[in-house]
Amino acid sequence: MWSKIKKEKVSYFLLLPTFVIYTLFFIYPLIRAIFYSFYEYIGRNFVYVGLENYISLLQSKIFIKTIINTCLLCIGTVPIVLISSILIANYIARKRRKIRSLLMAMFYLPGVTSIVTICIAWKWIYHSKGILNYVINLAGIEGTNWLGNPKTALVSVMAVLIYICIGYPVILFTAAIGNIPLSLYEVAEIEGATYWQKLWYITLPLIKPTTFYLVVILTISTFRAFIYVILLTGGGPYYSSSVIASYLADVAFQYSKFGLASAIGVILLLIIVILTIIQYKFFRGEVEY
Amino acid sequence: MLIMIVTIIFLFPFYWMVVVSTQEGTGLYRAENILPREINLANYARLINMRYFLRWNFNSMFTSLTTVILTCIFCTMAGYVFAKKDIPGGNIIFWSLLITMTIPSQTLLVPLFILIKDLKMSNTYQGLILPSLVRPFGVFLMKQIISTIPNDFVDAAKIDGASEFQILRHVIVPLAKSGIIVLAIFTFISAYNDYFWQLIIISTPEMKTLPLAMAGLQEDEQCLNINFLMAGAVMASVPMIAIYIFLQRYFTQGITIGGIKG
Repeated sequence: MWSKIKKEKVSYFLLLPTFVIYTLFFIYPLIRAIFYSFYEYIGRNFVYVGLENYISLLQSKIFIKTIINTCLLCIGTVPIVLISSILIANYIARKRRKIRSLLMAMFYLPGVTSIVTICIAWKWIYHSKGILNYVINLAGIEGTNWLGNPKTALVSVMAVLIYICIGYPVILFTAAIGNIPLSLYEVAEIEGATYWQKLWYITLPLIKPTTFYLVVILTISTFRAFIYVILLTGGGPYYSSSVIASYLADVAFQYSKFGLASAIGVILLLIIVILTIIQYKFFRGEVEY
Repeated sequence: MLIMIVTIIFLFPFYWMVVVSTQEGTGLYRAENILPREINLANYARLINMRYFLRWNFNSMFTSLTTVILTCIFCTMAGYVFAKKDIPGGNIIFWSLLITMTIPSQTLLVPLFILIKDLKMSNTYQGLILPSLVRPFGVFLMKQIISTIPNDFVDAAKIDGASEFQILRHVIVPLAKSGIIVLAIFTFISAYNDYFWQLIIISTPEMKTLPLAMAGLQEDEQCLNINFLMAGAVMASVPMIAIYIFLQRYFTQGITIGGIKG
């Protein structure tokens, strides 16, 4: 054992930077987060409070609301992103190379633009005197202050989230559909299959691995998404668009309740770990990472 | 037809932003101006003449590029070991790195913030760069890419008497180049966009990053000037869009490597 370790000392040296960075900026903070969740930051000191943070969170209506909002955001975003990106990809996969790469680049554009840019743009599109209301007023529909209305705030954030994260699935699906042999479709056409039949019986089964992979990735990323909420609505009005992660940021950096925030972080971590395990069990064997 | 509508909806926010930013700054927000009558760059001139404008650009570029360079070096080194070396404990380390990919960064927000404060790195470049060097995806990606390089190349170099560092530099890096570029692009995007961390770590105007400063225009403005704000929003993306256009062919390629194939 030791001789082998000695022989491979260059390898350990190569791992050293990664190891140091992980220990210092990942493992150590993770342990601290669990530790802090049993403490509260009172007057520049951490005071032991036991399980109080967790108890008060589970009794807090606001926190339960943020959990529900997070789930709604996920349930709303993931299916819409998947369905629309499959339809888009199905359309552009068979286009000429030039058009295909142009369209793929376009759908990926929001993902490579500064988040701040996208959010400022949408904030003013949604404004009560903004362009969105102007357009729907022309159609005779009464507009609203989209981000300032508790009924529409979460849905408005969801639309921006869909807008930003659709590019990645579009590109993956376009690549996956592009790999399906054309002969399969030609045979189906001879048999008189319709557009939807071809999509349902040929395309969907063959892009299953990509779909499952994206379900996992998109679920995790919508549970983590918080910067859009912070930039668009700040979680308001009345926590109607607040999600777990944005609430954490609020509690920590608006109210300096570092202990409570750490407890929220641990709960968020547990939720994501459970979701990952469930999805992994469910899709095992189907996904090739 | 449908794709045309989708395209228009998709590109509209960008178009709208550019149009509004080139209108005379009156503070009025006129939704009717979908087709601009004139183009006025006064808002951009005002932005560029702001006291710290160059500094903000520098801050963003310096912190993002340093993160990119260090991440690429460290991930290639680690990926090489995981792909080509059979070291005691190697598997355990690799899998524990992979598990960390699912851990949400928000969980670490408070302890990291306190740690950076204790290390006296608040409001410094180190404080921005060091925590963003944690890139489990990068190690994973580089391991996958380097695994596809045949062992014969490495062995041949060894027989010729090359040291491990020479093998890395002259065999691995050239053959894994496309993977490294992909990693560089993704790291750049996420380092540049690490908005919330920049927000809590930076406290003085001259240390702000470009997106942070541009988002700050919303608060600084006495009477909100939407045209000026939009010019700022456009400005915040200029470095990223430039890189996107420049390296566009690597993007789609990279996404597919990083996604499933890997």
